[in-house]
Amino acid sequence: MTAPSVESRFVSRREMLSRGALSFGALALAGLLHEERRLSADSTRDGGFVQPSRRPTAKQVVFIFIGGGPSQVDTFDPKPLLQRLDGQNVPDSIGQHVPRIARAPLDGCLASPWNFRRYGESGIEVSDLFPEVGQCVDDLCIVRSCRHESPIHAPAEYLTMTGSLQGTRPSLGAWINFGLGSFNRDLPGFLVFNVDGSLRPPGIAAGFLPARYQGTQVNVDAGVPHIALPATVSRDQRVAQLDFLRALDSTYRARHVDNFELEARIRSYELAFRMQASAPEAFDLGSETEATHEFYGIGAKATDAYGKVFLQARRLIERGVRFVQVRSGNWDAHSDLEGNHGQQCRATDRPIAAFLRDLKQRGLLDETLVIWGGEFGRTPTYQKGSAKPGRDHSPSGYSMWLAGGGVQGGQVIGRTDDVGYAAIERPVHPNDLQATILHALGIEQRELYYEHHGRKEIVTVNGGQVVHEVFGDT
Amino acid sequence: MRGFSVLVLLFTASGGELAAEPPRVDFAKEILPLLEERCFGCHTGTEAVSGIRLDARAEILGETNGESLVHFERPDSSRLLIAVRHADPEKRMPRDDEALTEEEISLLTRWVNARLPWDDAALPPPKAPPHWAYQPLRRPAVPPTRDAWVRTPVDAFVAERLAEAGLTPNPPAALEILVRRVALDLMGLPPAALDREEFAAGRLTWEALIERYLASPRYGERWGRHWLDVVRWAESEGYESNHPRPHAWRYRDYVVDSFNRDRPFDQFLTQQIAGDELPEYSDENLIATGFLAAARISSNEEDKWLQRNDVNVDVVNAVGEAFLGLTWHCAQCHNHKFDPISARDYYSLQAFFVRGQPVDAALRDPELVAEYAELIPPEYEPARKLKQALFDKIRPRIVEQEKSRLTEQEWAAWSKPLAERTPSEELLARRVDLTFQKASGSLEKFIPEEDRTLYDEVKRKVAALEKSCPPIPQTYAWYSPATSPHRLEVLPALGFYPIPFDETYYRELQTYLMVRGDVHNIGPVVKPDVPAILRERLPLNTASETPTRRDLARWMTDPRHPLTARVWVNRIWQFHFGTGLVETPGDFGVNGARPTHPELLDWLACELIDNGWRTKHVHRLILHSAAYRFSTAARDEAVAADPENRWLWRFDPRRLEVEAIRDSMLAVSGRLDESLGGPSVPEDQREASTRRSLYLFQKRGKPTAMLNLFDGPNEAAESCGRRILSTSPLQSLYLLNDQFTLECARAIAADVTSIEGDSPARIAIVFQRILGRVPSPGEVGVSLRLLEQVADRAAEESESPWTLLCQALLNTSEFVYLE
Repeated sequence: MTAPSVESRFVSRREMLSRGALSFGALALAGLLHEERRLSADSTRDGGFVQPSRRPTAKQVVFIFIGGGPSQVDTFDPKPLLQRLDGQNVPDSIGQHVPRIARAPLDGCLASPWNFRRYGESGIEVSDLFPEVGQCVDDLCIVRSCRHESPIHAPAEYLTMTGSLQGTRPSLGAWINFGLGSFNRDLPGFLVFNVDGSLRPPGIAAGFLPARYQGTQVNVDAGVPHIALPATVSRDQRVAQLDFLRALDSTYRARHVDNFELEARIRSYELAFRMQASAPEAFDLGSETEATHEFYGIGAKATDAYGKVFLQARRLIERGVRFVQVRSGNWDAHSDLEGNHGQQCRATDRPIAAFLRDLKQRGLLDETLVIWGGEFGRTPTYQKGSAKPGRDHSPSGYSMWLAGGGVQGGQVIGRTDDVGYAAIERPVHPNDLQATILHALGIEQRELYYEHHGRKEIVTVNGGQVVHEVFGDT
Repeated sequence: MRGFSVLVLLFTASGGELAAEPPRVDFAKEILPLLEERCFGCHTGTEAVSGIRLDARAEILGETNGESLVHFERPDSSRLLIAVRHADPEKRMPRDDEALTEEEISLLTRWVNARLPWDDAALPPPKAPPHWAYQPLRRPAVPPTRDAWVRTPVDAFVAERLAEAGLTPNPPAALEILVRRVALDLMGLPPAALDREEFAAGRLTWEALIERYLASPRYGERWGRHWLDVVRWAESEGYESNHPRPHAWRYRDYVVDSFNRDRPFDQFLTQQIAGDELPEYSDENLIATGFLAAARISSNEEDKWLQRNDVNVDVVNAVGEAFLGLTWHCAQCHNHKFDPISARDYYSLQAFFVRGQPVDAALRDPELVAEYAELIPPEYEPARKLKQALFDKIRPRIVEQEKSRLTEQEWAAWSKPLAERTPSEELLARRVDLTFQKASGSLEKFIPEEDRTLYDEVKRKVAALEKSCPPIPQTYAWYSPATSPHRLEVLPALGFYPIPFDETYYRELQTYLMVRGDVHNIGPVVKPDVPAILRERLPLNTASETPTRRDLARWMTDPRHPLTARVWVNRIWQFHFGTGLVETPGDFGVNGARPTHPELLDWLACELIDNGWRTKHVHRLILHSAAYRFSTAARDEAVAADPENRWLWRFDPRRLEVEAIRDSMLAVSGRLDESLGGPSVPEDQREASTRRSLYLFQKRGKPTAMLNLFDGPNEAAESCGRRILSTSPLQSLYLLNDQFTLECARAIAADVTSIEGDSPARIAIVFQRILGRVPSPGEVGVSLRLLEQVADRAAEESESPWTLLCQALLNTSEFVYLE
């Protein structure tokens, strides 16, 4: 069975307005649009406050956040020189260009314990940590020159997910949920899998946007929180309760005919009921074939947890959820890099690759933008004080990748120096990445704003630069 | 003194140059036309490209933002000249235009060499247009009115606007609605049955009802919670480690108590901003500074300058917004685009605060101290102090060790007193500082060999004793060892890399303007001062060379201050009516909303000041009015004329805040634990707790499920003057499916089924208890039908029909709304 196209189920509010407005004439439309802007703080709306000004290449987003900082030189950024310099200091010629921030030692290079090999037609090198993802490399656009300045987990994560270091702004998912709404009205538009419990709430928060746009944490067993009826209440009883509630709320509403919040409240109970009816189906992995389970690595010890999450993520994308965030934590390999990254990659490599292939095979990858990466990378030098060597935090030059949703795969953007410490070509700041994600969704970054404290706040705070090469544009 | 000698030097240098007779330049004739033709297209006004404006001399000199475009000592390094001379057309100014001619460039060079002569007649310094909120406060006359509904001066002001808009107000709401309205408004709880009965029967007047609620401790809890929003209070650090602040609750209790005792607002402000500086020590004064200390702290931040600055920025933004109703955060990095607040103003205000930091400080209340002394074993205090003394030896050891790695120049800069460093030495010293930062966990390895055995022993002893000891009575406060007259006992800080408490640093500290908000890009030295736009009419009144927070508080509470009282009465109005007379409670600036009733706002502000800054006086003025008692009904013609109810023709219904919803559920089900104050309900016990919501441990980013879903306080990262309330199906799912609502419903059902009576009678009781009114016949009908439907299908383990009825009623809009 193929899922109905999300497009066919979705007509944007703006479209409806403009269609309906044809009969009122242009003036009325201008009035309506003005009204719409005025109401941008309106809590009764389901999002959809911006209509993409250009044709989007992506309709949905999956952000695979690799918390703790995956090491670039051990995954997607091969450095032959680093292998040769094992145990030696970073040469001055390279070291002098490494930003002098805290935690950026230049002594003691640590060769990567992993080999790199070429994959696909593009022949891009990926390390043995990601043999399955490596096989998808022709669909990946690897950005090897991500860069910012904070070597501390939380601020760096907030910068990546919310645009600034403070952790006070709306997260990307909340912005997009607010700006575009979701295709599926029976599920929240921004869902988050907190796989290992390492979530930092500001990374999924609504910030100054209404709370309804924040990420909703879901998990593969329970689905949406509070979705299950209490064991002591039957479905029929609930239906009777809702009938009663509608009767009382309608009377109350009739006294306040102009109050849309009250209308929205009545509707929210209907939505809740629909959600209750449809979410269990969306979260039922049992309806997938055994072959699919195996494809995602479900049932195998190392990959079972992430296999379920990514299969679930695919089901949610299929059902039109706008933004899905998968959070993997514990990549913070200060010591025992080999053990840490080895285990984390074994757990995620196959499920991520299966997810990409599955989306592709179902024709969903074309319109789904997938992003992989963490808050920063790691130093090419080793961190002292541990028997098994590890690497410290490093935001000066690290790798992320994008796939699907208009991204031109099989390419590498940017370059780090010869030991993989600092981005020396085409640096990409988190704000640039955010502008790029919005661009894929058809949104110019200043079109999506929210008035807060008298300022037109945008996702990228003061603006980022779209990395057009990602889409094969120059 | 160092700053002074630099000035002298500059002066001498300039004198020397003048002696060499620099070429004469005529600003009006030569320079201005050139600027107008080639530069002013982009570089004028507050919206100038790149924030660079050339239409004001002070701006070119970087006086307000710290970035000078000219360099008088080395004119060739002037940004202005570099820009026009640049060989690369991409970087040259004017951009996308022909380069200046040789003559034009040499003219500009002469102008810079001559130290930028200006002609104020030709181009006067820019002046901010007058803005209502900066104008002096004057008591307006109460307008005469003949409208029959008018009861009080507040009504007279409202009536005037209504008449202008051609609107008539709604009639008063029904008594049962009014009693519920004022109870929820003042206490955040529905009225007791007795209040409803007495008021309905006319045994209790409206005024007496108000007095009853204003006297209730529940009032302080409700209004204290409002204030906690405004001051971005929480009980953990935020950021990455988010350490709890287990003693921050004392500030919350101080706030609740202040409202209950009707503490004058000027005193309330002063204690919160300068409690540690007040000449007479009191625990209460110290506790009140918890307002400043509520800032978030990134305790993983190794760069101490950045760490401290983030806290100071947080504090300035909170003070500016909470008390002055101005948004400051823009000016951290650049001159404010809308308000006449420059970066210099920003750092001048910050300079009041930079000499202190959040600390856990021991309290002195003899009763607390005696109680504590009785509970702890006598050997504990000496052991703890010994441990601390040994620990304090670490810093010199670290310095000794790191010294060897520094260059001579670095060491010289670092060891110089802060106030004597040149800007370049300062920057060098700051970089050196980074190498001295050690994670608190790794500090112990710096304990000298000869102390190690003793330290390990005493550490074990302290740890063992602490298992059975209560914590020292303490509070989480803001303390400046440099400006406070009191010597407080500062307890060891929590956190990975806590802010070092360094008395010498605070005494010697030099305060700089930070260019573009970059803590490592220091600009000119700034002294503590108030913003220029307000200084003109009301200067800071102090004899001190380094004004203190106490001076600032005195300035803010001066009866002539144009903002403090206006901002506070507007907040009071907003919490009563849902919307303030100024719709943006934290932004009285140019970009904020304008008052709908400016005279009423000023009249209330004057009333506040003239009545000893008593908040309850303002409550009475508002609550006694007829306007507060209008019904919420929508009248077509009024909705059409004034859909947003700007002219107050009715009372706006609004959804309750999450605390009021949760607390009301607990109250109507008889489960509410009414105990007042004390340490917060621990994080892992919050969901099961039946205490009022403001007592649930407020961990940043980790609110309870219900607080999170219903827009409760969360990260508390900045002042929140008005909550955004949203509606979503997840809220409905929570109220329908979570055990909390169900348990409240069960409690009511258990009570009602124990009462003799038929179903309609019991339905009436349930409605009275939950909604505070009798049900209509239709509502009795649907209730009966519900009872029948759910009983019909009830299984063995099912909830009772009465529970399901009560649970549905707790879900109604009417229950979660203030009408």
